[in-house]
Amino acid sequence: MNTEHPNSDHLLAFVEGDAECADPAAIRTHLATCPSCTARAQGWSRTRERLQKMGLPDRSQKRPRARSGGRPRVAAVAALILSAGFCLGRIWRPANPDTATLRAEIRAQLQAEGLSLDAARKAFANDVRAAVSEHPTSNPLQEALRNAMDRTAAQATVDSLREARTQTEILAASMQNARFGDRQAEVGRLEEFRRSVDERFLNMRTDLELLATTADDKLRRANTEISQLAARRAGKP
Amino acid sequence: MNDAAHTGGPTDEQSMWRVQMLDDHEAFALVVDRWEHPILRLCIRMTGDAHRAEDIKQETFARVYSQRKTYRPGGRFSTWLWRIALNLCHDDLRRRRSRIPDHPDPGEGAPEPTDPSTPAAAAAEIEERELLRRALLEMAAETRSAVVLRVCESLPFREVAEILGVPETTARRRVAEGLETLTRLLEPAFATPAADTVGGKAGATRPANLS
Repeated sequence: MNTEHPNSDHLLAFVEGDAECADPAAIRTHLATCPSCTARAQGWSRTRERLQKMGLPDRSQKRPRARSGGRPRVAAVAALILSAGFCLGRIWRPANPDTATLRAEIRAQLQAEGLSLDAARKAFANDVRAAVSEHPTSNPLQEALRNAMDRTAAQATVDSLREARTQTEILAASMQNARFGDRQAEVGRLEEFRRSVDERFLNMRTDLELLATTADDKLRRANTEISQLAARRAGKP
Repeated sequence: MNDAAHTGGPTDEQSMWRVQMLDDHEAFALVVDRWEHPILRLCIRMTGDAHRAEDIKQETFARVYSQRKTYRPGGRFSTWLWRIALNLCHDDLRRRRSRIPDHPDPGEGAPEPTDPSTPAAAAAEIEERELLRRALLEMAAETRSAVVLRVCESLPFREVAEILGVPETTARRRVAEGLETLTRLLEPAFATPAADTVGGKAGATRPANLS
């Protein structure tokens, strides 16, 4: 081994047959006497070739499905639990209230208190009226009714204010759009006007050029006639 | 891949200019048509999985279209495209690092023989490709990128360095390191032919300069 081992860069350039390889002759000489570098170069070369020959996988095969082996089982269990819950709910649901019985109970209670159903209705109507009125209330039912109505009125006010604000914003946006539309229309009109002015200017220029040409011709003809007349007069004694 | 000069069609840069300025779909289709196979090859070699590679390839072209306004016509289109594809491959590898299978299912991008003359040859070919695939995946992604671009795609070192965003010397060093690693991984698995020596009848496996 009479030369130094080539570094990786030089060996790579040599293996690749790179024209820019520093000194291929020196490397070849070294390889002839150095088994380890020879083995290295040949190994790299084989690897390069294998990589270059490496084909692409077949892509016609079906895409593998996501690993979801447990999912159907989980779904089945969930469905079973839901079904069981639904069935139990249907079995143990509370019975619908019996309105006829309730009505009978209320009527019996009213009779026990010595009131008729009509009288009770009238009393409730009076309570509602008192709750709506400005007068102070003494009855707890009237108080509760008044509070409920106040709350409803306050909510309605808030809702209507919100609605009014939304409508105002929509109106403002439409006005803005309309202004933008007007501006666009104005720009369009100005553009149209500019085009018509340009056109008129061009027409006028063409007319003027025509006029100038015609005048020039006439002038030239007049000059010729004057020359001819002058020549004729000069020819006469 | 600027074979436009040979085919008479527009260059990649010209097509990309049309895509950028005019949203020209036909020009974009031309670019995709020219580049989809090389990009797919790169993605397969980077990820080792044909199906994921297909997804990344599609994402690459989607990104090229969505980022068309950022493309600078002064630079080579191919460099820009390779870089996008490589970045997506790196992102994918980072996301799935813990999920790279040691033994892929047959349907999960397993190699298929291209021309199996006999069942034994076909099996050997499949085995060889699988060894190569796994050896490539053993390497660091940066080294693998350099090897794939230089050795498999035959790009000049200048372009490899530009794509990887490193100096040319670094690109050369990474390719040499990659070849060293791959050789160390692969040589024990492959039977070395006896005649494969310097000056002997090495045949196709000899270095280009060892003649």
